[in-house]
Amino acid sequence: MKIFDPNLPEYKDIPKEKLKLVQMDQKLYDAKFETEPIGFFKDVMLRFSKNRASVIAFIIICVIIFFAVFGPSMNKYKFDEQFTEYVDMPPKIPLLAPLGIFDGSRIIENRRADLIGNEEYYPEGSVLNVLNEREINGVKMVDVEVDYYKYIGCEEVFWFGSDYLGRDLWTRLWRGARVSLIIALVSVACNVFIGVVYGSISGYYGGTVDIIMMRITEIINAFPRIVILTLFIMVAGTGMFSIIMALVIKGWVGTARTVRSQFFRYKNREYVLAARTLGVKDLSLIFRHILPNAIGPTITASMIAVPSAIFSESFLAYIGLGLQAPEPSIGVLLSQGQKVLLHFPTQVLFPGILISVLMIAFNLFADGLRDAFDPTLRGAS
Amino acid sequence: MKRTLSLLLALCFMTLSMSGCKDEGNTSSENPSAASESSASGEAAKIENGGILKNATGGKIGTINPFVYKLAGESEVAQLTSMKLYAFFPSEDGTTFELKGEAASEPPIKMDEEGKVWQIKLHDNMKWANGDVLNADDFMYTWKMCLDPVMVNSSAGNLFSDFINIKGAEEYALQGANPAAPVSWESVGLKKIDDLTLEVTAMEPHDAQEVMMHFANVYNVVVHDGTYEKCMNEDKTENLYGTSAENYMSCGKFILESWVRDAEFVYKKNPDYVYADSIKVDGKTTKVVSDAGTRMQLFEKGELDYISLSAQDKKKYEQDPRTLLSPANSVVHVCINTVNPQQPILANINFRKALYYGTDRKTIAKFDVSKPANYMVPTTHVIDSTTGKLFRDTDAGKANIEPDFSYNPEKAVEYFNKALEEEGLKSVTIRFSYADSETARVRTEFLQKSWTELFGKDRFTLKLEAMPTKQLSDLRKKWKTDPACYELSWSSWSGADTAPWNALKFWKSDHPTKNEPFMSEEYDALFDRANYGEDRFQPGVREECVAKMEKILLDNVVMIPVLQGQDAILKNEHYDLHMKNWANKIGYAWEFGHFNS
Repeated sequence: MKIFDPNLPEYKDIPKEKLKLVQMDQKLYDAKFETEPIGFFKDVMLRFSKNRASVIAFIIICVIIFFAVFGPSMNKYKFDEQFTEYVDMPPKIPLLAPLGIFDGSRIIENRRADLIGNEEYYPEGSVLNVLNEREINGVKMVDVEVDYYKYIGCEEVFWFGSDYLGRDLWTRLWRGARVSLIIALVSVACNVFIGVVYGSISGYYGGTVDIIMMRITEIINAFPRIVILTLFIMVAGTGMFSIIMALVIKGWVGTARTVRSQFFRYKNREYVLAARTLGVKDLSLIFRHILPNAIGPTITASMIAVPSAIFSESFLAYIGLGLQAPEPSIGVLLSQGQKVLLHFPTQVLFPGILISVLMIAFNLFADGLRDAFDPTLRGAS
Repeated sequence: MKRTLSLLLALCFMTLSMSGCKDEGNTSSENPSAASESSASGEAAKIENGGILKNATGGKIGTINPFVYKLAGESEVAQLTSMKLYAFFPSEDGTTFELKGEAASEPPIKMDEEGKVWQIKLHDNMKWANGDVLNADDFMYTWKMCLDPVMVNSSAGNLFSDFINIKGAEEYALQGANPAAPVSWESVGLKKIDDLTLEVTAMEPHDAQEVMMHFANVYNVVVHDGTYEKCMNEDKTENLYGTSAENYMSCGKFILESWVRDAEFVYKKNPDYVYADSIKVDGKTTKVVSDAGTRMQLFEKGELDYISLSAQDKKKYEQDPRTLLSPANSVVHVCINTVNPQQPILANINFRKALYYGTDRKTIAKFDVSKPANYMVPTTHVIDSTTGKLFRDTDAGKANIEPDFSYNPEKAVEYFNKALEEEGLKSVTIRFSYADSETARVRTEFLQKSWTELFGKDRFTLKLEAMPTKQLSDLRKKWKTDPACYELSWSSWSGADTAPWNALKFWKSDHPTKNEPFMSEEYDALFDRANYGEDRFQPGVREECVAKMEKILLDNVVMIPVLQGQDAILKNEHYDLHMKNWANKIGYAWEFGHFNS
């Protein structure tokens, strides 16, 4: 290719009239994109919405949150209201009762056969079925299926049954879900905040600062969670604060490590060096220029941490280190239900289902977020 | 790839299964002690075909050292495996109990006119499980160790002062490690006359029955000198006796063969026991299973011969002919720490009365199928053992009981308002410590709700605190050294049900393990009169004293009586009891029964 130069001998003989600027009559534009530009978060949304399981999980979480907020006020009972005449009632859901499920019936075992028909023991219409006739020590014994609400003479309706003090389990379950979610979300939020700040400083400055800060995390991580919780219970008593603190004291370490690794990855990139050369301050470099790169993994990690926190709370409640009575949580209800599992299995059924669904939903939701935030999958589908 | 993965998985599975087999083999060959224990218990089952009586307990056993144990479950193990001078046995006809010599061969012999000096003759040929001779030296050693002024054992008080006050024993036991004027062991009224004779000198005159009752106390079991010495530390300030089967020596109805902590006790019949003929079973195993549901499953599978029923199971088996009822020998009450400096309102009588009248005992009792109680002397306590008359059936006993089980919400609120006014408070927050058992939790949560509703949410808050039974039991007794140790808590005391005047000792000013900081000269004087007074044998004196003592406790609301338990026991059809009915002191005397098939 040659470039025109009027001083070159081969161009000297060309008359000027023959030369013209080729684009004098039109303006030059860059070619237009045929599609709309897609930002990072929009791309994340698009990819997340294509993951059906995650979307369903998200909807389930929303439904559970809805019930956690409004469920306790859907009937007339309060979470700590005791009906001591109606303890351990079976579930009775009027809509499902015609189908034969949750109709308020119960099999009461080891009854003397000769008392069947005696209205002092079995009010009229309460006996539904007589089962398993047998003889023990010469006495005829049976199991009796009864309409327990008629048998007890209870005119209240407990959708999910009642507990050992006659408290409505529907109200307590959703109140418990609310408490568990609050504990999980607050502890995760605290973990993310502390972890991000700590990890950013450690990763950005590196060197001795990083070595010291990371050793501190290792020391903190070495304490068993139950020991920390016990110490908090000794100081602050049982309750939400102690549980949240037990989950926070160690929980932020994971986030800090994730953020630190992202900082190591990005802090020597050209754009960071350029910003630093231009005199941008450390704080601005950390939080404005580098940290946004760590948001994806951090959000994903925190979403995974939510079910883990709910499970930890349930575990602590289950071993008796839970909330102070009468406040319920899913773990408290599971712990109480387990003690009467053989007698009243529905008391563990509903909280069991709820925690399982909640765990699966949060895990699927977190899976979807992780895939959506994964830069290597960008544009892959 | 998939095939490789499947192969790898299969290989892992096989390796794991085979390693499991290997481990089992190793356990039996590398741990000969475990193997010998199991074979020994198996052998015990085959010796005479008497069978092994199997039961389970929910409570964990910390120690079976009679000088320090505090829990009923702990003393029960010692009663099975050791001996006292006197003990309660089922009567021949199986309808009641009889108090007779266990290590002693006959009732005590009065040696002076007054009845202060008594000699106790021992059976000949008594042996420890290791073959050592058991004689008067063992009892002298036990008494000396129990009263050791360096160790200051918690049960020393039960030896030096219970049904009888032993001369010089209190001074010796409480003189401290380095006294300015030492009290010698020789000055204590406990002497050995010869290998088979002991002499006891009391401070006051007594009859033989009282001397026998004193030495039938659950704390007065004999310990083996060699084993006890072996378990002592160098400076003789701590002792591990009774903390494992190796650190213990049996001589009672059964020999403790093995004790897997928090899991199982295995006993075999002691052929050298004084009344070995009356024990028909070859051995006994007691599993420690804290969960009531698991205990029930074990029973239903035939792995247990009898179990105590939980509140839920009581309802389930109430009509079952295999269910036996057993009235509890204690009143469950709320202890009040009136000296707690952080809660001066607990010292306010009106506040305590507010709690007393605000307690709905009928509802609480309904939760675990027991009886509401607004009294402190249980319905099982016999005031006159010759006629079998119960204290609660006497006029004096009935006079202490208020109507409606003392539940009077209006009166409670009135007292509460008065208390707040006197203390200058607008609201009060109290901490209730309870053992982490199902029944305690239900009762406490009910009280939390009912008291809060009664006195007002803005004026009364009850904070709950659950902790293990043993920890709570120790905590309650710490008020002398740590007055802020607890505020309110549950407790119950099982005293001598054939001597209610003695069973009220737990509120005497100088009782070593009392829960409530209650001191009353009037109460002490009544106790002393009923137990040691010259006129105590006169008709009506003890009845009057017991009634007055109970009234003092109730009037001062030293504690809040709530309920008297009613245990229910489910028994296997294949085991026949010697007892025809429940009886004081011995219950159903399980060890004296036999298998019918």
